[in-house]
Amino acid sequence: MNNQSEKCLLVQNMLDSFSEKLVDSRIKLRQKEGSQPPRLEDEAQEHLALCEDCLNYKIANAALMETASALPMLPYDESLTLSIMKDLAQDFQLQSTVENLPAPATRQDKSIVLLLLSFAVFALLLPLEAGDSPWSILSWSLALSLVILLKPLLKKHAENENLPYARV
Amino acid sequence: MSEINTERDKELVQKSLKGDAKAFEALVRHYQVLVLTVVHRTLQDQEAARDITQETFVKAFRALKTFDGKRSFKTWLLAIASNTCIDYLRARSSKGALSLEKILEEEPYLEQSFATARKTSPEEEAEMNLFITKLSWALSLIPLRYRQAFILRYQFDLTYEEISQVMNENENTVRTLLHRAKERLRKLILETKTPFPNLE
Repeated sequence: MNNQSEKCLLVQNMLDSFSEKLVDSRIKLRQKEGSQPPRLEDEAQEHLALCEDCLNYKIANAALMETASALPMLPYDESLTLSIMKDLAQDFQLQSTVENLPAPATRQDKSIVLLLLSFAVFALLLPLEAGDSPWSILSWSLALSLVILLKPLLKKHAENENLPYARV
Repeated sequence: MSEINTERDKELVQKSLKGDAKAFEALVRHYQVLVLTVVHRTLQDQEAARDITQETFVKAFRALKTFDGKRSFKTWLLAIASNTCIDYLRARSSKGALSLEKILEEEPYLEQSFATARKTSPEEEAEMNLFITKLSWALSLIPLRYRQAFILRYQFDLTYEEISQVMNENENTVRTLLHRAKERLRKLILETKTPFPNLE
């Protein structure tokens, strides 16, 4: 490869990078981020004054970029928008139905309520039959607290063994 | 994309997630032309572009919960469109003779189009003098992935990062795709022997 074509390759790389910087500066301008317009290196400009091939390369590159940004867009199609929204009508209907439903209690919420309710019933009924009710209530409370404390451990074990948690 | 657009899009996404159809319709109205044009340029088929645009928005709505706002809605939507194009091509390639790889990476239409181009009448040749027509023609001859990267970068001004997100490629691959796209387009346009308009 001779010196001239090596130089041409180098300058053409500079021109490629210059045109990319032009696009980047256009993007930044659109994003309203201040940007300095890029400048082609002096070395490249000097070479362009002497080399017709590279000058043509520069013109071709510029034409390609300019024309690409001016390529026509397809026109907006209202019927397409309506068709998309029609396709999604059922999804929206379903979504609004779900939104309007009262939030269902989770399984955990339900079990806590059930636990408290059964304990309250037990505590109310216990004094009717035994004299040692305070001790019974205390022992039941301890047992229930223990179950609640152990529950996360059981859950972890169920997950590890791939067992359905409800059975545990 | 400006910050204002990004914030507005996020707001519309949130409203859509709460079942506000008007909010999603606003997104469709805003991005329909972009998606339609990119898909049309990518596939070179207007009817398929319409169907894929519709499918893209439907898929986008159904996957809206997965939009995390880390990238722009525009990039997220274009990535869905790009994947939908690939699905479409995959389905088409399983029916036809061309493999998906060939459609994406090679130039399946090149030989045929050159043959057609050589047979054009002088009147048609005169029409080709319009540089924009020439570029559109040349774009239809280069591989799909080159064309897609070129359009996203130079027609729609996406950054390398955004293109890499849309095409699911790394930034270096995007640079290579763009370099090759420009090289081939330059070659194709110069071979038609019509001078470039001097834009200096």
